[in-house]
Amino acid sequence: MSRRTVARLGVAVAALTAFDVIGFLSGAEHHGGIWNSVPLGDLALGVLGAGVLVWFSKRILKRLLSRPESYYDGTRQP
Amino acid sequence: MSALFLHPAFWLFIGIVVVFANRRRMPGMPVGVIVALGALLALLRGVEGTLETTVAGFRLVWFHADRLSLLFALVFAIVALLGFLYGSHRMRAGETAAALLYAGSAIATVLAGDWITFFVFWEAMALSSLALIWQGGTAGARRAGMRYLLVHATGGALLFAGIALHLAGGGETSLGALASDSPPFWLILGAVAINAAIPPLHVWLTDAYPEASTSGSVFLSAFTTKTAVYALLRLFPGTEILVPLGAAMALYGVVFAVIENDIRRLLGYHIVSQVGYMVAAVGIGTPLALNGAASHAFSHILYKALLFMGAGAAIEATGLRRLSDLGGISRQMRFAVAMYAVGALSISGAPLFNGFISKSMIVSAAGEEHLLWTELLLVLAAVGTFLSVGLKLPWFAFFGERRGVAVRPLPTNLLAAMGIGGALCLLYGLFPHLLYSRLPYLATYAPYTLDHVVSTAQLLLATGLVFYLARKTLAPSPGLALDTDWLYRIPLARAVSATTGALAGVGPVVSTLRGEAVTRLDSAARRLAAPGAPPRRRESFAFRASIGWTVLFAAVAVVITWLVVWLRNPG
Repeated sequence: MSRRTVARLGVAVAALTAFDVIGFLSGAEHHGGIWNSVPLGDLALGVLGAGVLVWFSKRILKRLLSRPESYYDGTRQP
Repeated sequence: MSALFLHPAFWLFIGIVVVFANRRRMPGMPVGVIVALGALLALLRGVEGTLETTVAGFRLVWFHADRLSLLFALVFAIVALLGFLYGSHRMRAGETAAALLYAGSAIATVLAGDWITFFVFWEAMALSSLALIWQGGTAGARRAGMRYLLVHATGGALLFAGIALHLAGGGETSLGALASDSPPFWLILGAVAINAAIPPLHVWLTDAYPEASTSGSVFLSAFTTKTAVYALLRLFPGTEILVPLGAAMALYGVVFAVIENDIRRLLGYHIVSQVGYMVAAVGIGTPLALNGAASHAFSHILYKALLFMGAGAAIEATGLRRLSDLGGISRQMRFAVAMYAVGALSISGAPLFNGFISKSMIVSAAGEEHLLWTELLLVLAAVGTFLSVGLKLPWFAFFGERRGVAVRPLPTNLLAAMGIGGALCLLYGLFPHLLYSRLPYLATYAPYTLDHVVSTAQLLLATGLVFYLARKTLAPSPGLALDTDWLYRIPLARAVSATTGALAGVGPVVSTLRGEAVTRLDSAARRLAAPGAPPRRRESFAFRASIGWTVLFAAVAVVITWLVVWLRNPG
């Protein structure tokens, strides 16, 4: 990992942390979900949600469902 | 109501006549822009009321305007105007006429006040959208159009059967909520579910929309699914089954979008996902949720049209449609990329954009009803939306690795349409009261609270971080992903092949009649796509099978309806 990459990640993490502090200080939950009422909840949901989505889509679904562009060519389909 | 009142859809229908009367003299076709503007101005008057007539003993309410129908008709007119402006440099008479009929039928459907008028324009919408898909002009467009016809003929048969049963059972002719758990309820819900693209009945959308022309896709993205959302709001508010269906739908579209390589198919999966929010909201059924569904449909039509315009701009500029072929073209089309970014931030629900307002209403409505899993799935779908439409698509299509793709300059009308679309997304995001004042139900909602804005920003930034770390994993690759259409494109097609083969063996008359019908329909499709092209006599199995399926489904629906009606009223 290059210095530039580390610096970018650092900025991203700092921004996320700052947002979380503001969110926590601002108090009230808004949607009612548990992720809104605990510190780092929204960040965790975002990271976990996006991470699981990438993992499931690209590692599981793509392997199961991916076919060549010509898959339906020559089949007797409408 | 003024005696000089003109139904907004009539503007568009009159446009069809003007287009065909002047098709040799006006190749640029500004007619669409003019008549769509006329329809929009008629709707901006916001006249509520009813116009009706009696035909053969049936009371036909062909204009029924209340806040719900006017909201949908208004946004349909806006997007029609944008679509015609966007495509005015390339749309020929046939495509313009198909788009006029499609937009006019959509407006007439949402302004219909009785079941018969509703059915007639619902079907006119299906046929005109089919013509619009065929205008794509490729073999892929013709084949996808046939599959589209098959699915929508099934939906039309279900709707017809449901309405016939409803009326035969002594139901009201005026359009309204149906008694739950009755046969008409489920038949009509099935028909609407097909048009709303609720999985597993959704593939007609992701199959056909990418095959239309770049301007055709803009129209297609707006009308069919949102008319279905209107029907759900009008006929099925508070139907609980729609809540899990909608939440699953929102996530389903997102998951498939992450692995999709075709830019317009990726956006098609996000229509499925975003309509999922609306379907779930209709199922929740509270005033806030129903307002959320209506306002999300309004917002979605604007930003999705903008996104399809952006994808179309990339295709028009490069001739390429796959993420794996595109890349590094942002400098040559800065304005189009900027407007695409507005659409992407809107669909992702970023603060200051219209999607933030409407999406938050639905998620909040789920929270207020303590539907924790629904709320969680909708939030995860929002994360996935930003991941694929807000980051993956623009990164790999516009930025990323340069592939030496030649970029043609984009016409001014195309950029102007994108500019207006982007401005509207921002306008309704910055001034939500402009939208609230038109919503059908009484409910208050304040989107711009500090914790809400901060929470949304956290979700988006966390998603950005994951994209940054996983961008190599997310890199697109050539190929297609199987979806539920596999079922009718491979095993069911084989079954139909065996059936029609056996049918053909019964007698040469059946075979001849079927072949003649297929030949005529296919010739019509070819003439629509390429006027002047000679008709082809020998047709492929694909067309024969499609016709066989369509006729089979329609016939079965009619027979079932007749039997049920006869059993109920044998005299």
